[in-house]
Amino acid sequence: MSIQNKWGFPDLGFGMGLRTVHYSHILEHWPKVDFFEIIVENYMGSGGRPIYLLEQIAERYKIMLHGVSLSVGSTDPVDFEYLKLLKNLIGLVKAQWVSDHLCWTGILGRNTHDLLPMPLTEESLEHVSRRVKIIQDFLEVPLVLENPSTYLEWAQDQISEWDYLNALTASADCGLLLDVNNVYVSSYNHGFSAQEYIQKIAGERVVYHHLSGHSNNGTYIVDTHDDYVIDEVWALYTQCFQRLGGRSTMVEWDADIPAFEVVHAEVMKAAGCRTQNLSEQILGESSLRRLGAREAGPRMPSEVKIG
Amino acid sequence: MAEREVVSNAKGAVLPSRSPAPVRREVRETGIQTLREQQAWLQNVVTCVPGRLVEAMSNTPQFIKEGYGLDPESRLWIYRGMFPIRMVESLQVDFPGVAYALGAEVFEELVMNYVEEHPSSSWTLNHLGLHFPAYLAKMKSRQRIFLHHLALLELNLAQVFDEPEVSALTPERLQTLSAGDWENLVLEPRPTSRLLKFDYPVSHYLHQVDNDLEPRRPAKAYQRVLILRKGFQMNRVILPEGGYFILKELFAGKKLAKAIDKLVTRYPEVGPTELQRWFHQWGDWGIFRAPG
Repeated sequence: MSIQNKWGFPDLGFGMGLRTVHYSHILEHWPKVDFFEIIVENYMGSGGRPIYLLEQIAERYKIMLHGVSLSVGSTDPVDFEYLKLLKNLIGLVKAQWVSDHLCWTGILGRNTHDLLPMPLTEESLEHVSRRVKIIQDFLEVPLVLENPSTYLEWAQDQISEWDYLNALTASADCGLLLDVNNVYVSSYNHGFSAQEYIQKIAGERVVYHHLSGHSNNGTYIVDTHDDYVIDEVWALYTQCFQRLGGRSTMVEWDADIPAFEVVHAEVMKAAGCRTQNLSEQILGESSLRRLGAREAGPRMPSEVKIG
Repeated sequence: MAEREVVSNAKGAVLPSRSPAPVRREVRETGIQTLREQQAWLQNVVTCVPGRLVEAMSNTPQFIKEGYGLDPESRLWIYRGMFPIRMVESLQVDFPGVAYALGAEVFEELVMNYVEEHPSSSWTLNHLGLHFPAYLAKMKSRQRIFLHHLALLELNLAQVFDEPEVSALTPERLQTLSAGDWENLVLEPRPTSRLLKFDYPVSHYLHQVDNDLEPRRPAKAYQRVLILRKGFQMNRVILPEGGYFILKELFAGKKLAKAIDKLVTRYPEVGPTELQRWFHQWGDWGIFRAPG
């Protein structure tokens, strides 16, 4: 069974983040990778080496654009200077869409440079939906929002994150970057079922997957992107594939970044999930049991409509 | 210099080993907070200076739910703990010399006070350090001029790294100019060329820091530095007095002939051979913008 994404964006295969420590390896070996994803802020407004190297790499690879500073949920005005630079980059690499996070990074003219969580309320949903429409109209490509890793829940939260995202993507007509690790991290931190999240997310809105490692501190998990993808997350990724079919997938490794080959091996492991039942062949029963063990958290009322 | 790289939404935050500062649990009767109020509250908790944290967090239960494994205050601390790390790391990338000169503890405290006065207002952390040299100049410290000049050098290096690449005036092109051309020639610097004068040998100091040579604060001594980027490589050149003088005139938009006249008057020891050598070298380094 599979669910087509609404735009008919093709499955581009398996990619990895383009990081400075790997530049020389890439430029020397031109390794077999389906695409690279860049953090747009590292290239926007730069006329130096970063953009020069990006132009070289974009000649040989597809480039996915991923941002961390759009601040789509902020109650400050939309930053059109930022959007202009982003649009230039979209044109440069001929991107079909651009992704960022469901979050806000600052208000009152300040920027915390963190991905701060949105309250899951009707007011917030309407606010973000309005802004997504404005942003998409300006950029002229779909905006694809990523489910963030979150470490707190607002007292006024009214709905589950998956219901929020489903309502948002429908009302604003935008896409969804389903970060499988983030689903796991937030489910661990907030005690909801990661499997239910993936089962209930609007499949036709999902155009892209992220995978990464994290740091488990016992009572909470932090999304550190500094390690291998854990078995439980591979199992969830397999669940995504079984439900949705193939989606472009990338592995993020952003701290303590190992040699190119190590990250590449994780990318290939993702590819392996498409050709075998990873939950049986790699993970075994214990991972699936551990996933189930975190399912006993509080539940949210579902079904919220906006507009 | 180190290349700054923002990396996705990765967090390195860990909860503090000690319990967070005690918070007032006085919950007042309130209505529903607006999204704006929720964001203003969380931003204040995340970014305020330590002295204001207890007050900032006093009404946490009104805003944050009890967690699955953590209480509301501990959940906040994951965000709160990450903020200083991000700010310090960012300025450490751009100002490694200042960070070394001050030592980790003092640098961290200074950064947080600086950020309180000059919070980031941009989507990029590249602009966070714009006011840092001026902030250091206001320090109550005997080191302040040294630190100010060191930070100026580092800020200019960070800025030149990202400047756009424009065509350079080559030595070959210079040689094709006629005598008439020379008379009225204005040599404009490329955006990747910067000219700086310091009261301390901060370029030497930074070189030693970059090479883990553990330098001590140097004695006062003027240093004239040309920053240039060639083939996307960052370079620093120490200039002689005369070389700095004429480049300063040229970078200010003076005509070449007039700049040379002033140089010869001020520094009669600079002969035509040396001047020719300088221009050949500067042309080779591509410090001037190609005309047109």
